[in-house]
Amino acid sequence: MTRVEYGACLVVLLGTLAPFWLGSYWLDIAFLTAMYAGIASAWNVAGGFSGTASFGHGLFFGIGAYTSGALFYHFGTSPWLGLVLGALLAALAGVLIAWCGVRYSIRGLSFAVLTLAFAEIAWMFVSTFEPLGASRGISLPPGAPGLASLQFPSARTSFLAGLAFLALCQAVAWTVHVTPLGFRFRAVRENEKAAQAMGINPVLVRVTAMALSGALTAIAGTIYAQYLLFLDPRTFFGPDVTIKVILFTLVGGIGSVWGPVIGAALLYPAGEWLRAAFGGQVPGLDILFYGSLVMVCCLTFPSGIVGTIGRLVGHAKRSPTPGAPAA
Amino acid sequence: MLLELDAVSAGYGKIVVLHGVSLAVDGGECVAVLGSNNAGKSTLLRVISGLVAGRGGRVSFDGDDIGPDSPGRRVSRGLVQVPEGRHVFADLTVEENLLLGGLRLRSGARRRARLAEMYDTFPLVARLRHRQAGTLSGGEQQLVVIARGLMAEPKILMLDEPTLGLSPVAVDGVLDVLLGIRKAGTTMVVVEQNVQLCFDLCSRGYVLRQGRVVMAESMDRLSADGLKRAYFA
Amino acid sequence: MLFVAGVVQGIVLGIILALVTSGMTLIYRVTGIINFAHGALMAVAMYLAFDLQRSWGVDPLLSSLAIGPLMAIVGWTLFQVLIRPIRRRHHLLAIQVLLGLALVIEALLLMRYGADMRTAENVFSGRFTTVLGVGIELTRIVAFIVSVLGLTALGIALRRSDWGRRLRATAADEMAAHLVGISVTRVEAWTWGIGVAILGFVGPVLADVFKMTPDMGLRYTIVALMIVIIGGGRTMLGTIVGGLVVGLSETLGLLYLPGSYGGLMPYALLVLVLVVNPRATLAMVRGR
Repeated sequence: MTRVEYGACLVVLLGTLAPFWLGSYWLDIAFLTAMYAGIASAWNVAGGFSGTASFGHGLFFGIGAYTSGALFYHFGTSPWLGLVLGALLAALAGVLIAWCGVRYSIRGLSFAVLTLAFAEIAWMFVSTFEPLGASRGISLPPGAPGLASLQFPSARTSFLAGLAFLALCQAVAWTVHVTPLGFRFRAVRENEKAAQAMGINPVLVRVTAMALSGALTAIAGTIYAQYLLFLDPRTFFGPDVTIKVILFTLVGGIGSVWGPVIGAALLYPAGEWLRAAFGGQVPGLDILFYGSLVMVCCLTFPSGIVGTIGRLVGHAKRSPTPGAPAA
Repeated sequence: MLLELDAVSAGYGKIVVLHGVSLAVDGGECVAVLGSNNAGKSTLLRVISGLVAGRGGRVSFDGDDIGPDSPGRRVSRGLVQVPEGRHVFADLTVEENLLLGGLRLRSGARRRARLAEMYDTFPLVARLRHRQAGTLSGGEQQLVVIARGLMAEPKILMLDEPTLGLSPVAVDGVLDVLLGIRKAGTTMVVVEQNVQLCFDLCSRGYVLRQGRVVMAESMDRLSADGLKRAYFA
Repeated sequence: MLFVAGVVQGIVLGIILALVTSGMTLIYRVTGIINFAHGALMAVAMYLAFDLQRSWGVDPLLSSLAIGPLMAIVGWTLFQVLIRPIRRRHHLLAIQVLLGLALVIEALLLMRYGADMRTAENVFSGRFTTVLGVGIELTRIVAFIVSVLGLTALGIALRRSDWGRRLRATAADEMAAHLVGISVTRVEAWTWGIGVAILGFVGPVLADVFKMTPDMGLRYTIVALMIVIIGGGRTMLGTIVGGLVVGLSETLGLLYLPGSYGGLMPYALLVLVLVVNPRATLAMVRGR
């Protein structure tokens, strides 16, 4: 890990302790920040590490939420089981889509739009399909509070769940990054043909990337569904989560392990505060904030915040750092 | 000297391809630039045309330092390149290709007149005028881009590997055309791997190796041995 | 009867979407960049027409004549200020900055006009007409006619005019364009101007056809992107075909399939096109 990343780790660690001293309002925001950070990290494993960018992560988020939620609602299945099933289903979806992409030479932007198409198809399907609540959604009955039924009786418990999720995502991201797997990911990202010539199988790489990314995002979906206790097609299959997550990753530093987390930690709480404080008189301030920050970052921090700090701290001479985007 | 390069270096990013290359071309001459692959021949032409920035050294045309000139400005001075790999405007017709070559001639009337001249000189091109350029064969495309280059009434016509990838028949056709251009008095710089063609066409030659000029002789003096040494030693 | 209605409505919608998308196609072909702020810019044009009507009662059909040239300047400036200096550094940055711009536009529109759905009525609003026995809003037909005229004018200008030739040449081969003396940067800047100007002319006309909300931008950018992919992203004809495919599939889909299932027809077709046609793949930023 680079020095910047140790520093980021520390900051995040401190950040995770702070909310415990603040009220439940801030714990809620902290929970959502942790969730977004985790999903952003998951997205980054596919989009940043292996160059398999997706615009349709809502598909995985929704699969996770609806698998656990619908099973719980209709059959009383434990949400833990639903979580695992949802992750597996999402991984399968990711495998299929990634395989499609490599098999039919759908790359880059077209692949991203392909994922979006699948997410939209899923969204519209769920909006019409009665057993999944159609557009009205499904209200999940609260079960017995506690870990066994994945219920969050207090803001503190949900925040802890969010942290656990983030830790899982970071563990996966970090493991991919430092192991030979990460090398394969980067090779495919930089030049698929050259990687193939080196004996790396791009199909395997992209499929693995999407499977991991999708599974983690689905877990987030389950957790969020249990937090909201409400399933709604737009919230889960819609584009909002994907857009935010891409934004956070871009600002924080695509391709780095901690970039997405930094991006989420910087942008989301600030955005929420702007929305809460000024949303009444001046709606859209949070969106203005996100958009301007992205633009400013493009002009001044092309490699994202992590990359830039890394450069400032003297990484410029090092061989490909985690902070540098695909050149 | 019409075109002069004085210790010009150039490269892409961290990679330096040309190291202090100097050459000169006088009006009416036909000069060859020889060398194996990656010797820097194409980069040399790109630097002269302004597609690649030179680092250090001076490129002058007709006595002026053209270093700060954009590629478009260089063309308007009469410095025209026919690039490697033909590069026709594939979606456009042959006639549209030629008309675009004549952008240097300000007035539409002059362009039309020049176009008629080109059709006279290249009857094959005239026959293909309404065909979409991307559908032509390699040899036909090469003629089109040479005619396109001539449309500008160039003071110097630079050609990068004009016979690369062409059938022997097509190569002969191109050689005939180039001989005709030389006879008409147009100054030419020809980058080629086909050494025999350069012997037939040019009066003088430079040999590049790894970005440096290793030989600069009249074509008579460039013997087979000397060349072999320059390419491979 | 239902089928004829679907086809007519689908063609009308498809042609309108084709004109809206044509600007994105041009910009992509000449400068190699997908304009992710395309829909947002159209929203700007539409809201401007709405504003002019609300404040001074100007009919949007009239104000489009002024908003068009204004948006041309916007597009030209956008290229010079945001795209040109950035894309040298990293090819994905242009995309990011456009996404950021789209969000900023959305926020500003939200602040000024509120989140409610708006329309700006023109002189043809509220009236209906019949085409082949199918009832259609007159404003939609007007938009259709404008789109047909616009696409035709664009096609003719690209084929016959001098700048059209330069534009097509730059799109076909950037290096060769440099070598014949075309000022590639100037062509690129003007292409952005034209591409956004199209939105400026057609947006106000659509102010009573498409509902306006501040967040409509991204939706229309995605639709345009789909049309570019389906149509091949290379020719005007392709854009028209792509527009018709999307328009017809959505209209017929909603007509014949229950609930929202119909709305997913364009996406299903997109997947089909991508799988079947390897050349449909677009680069995020086209390598040049």
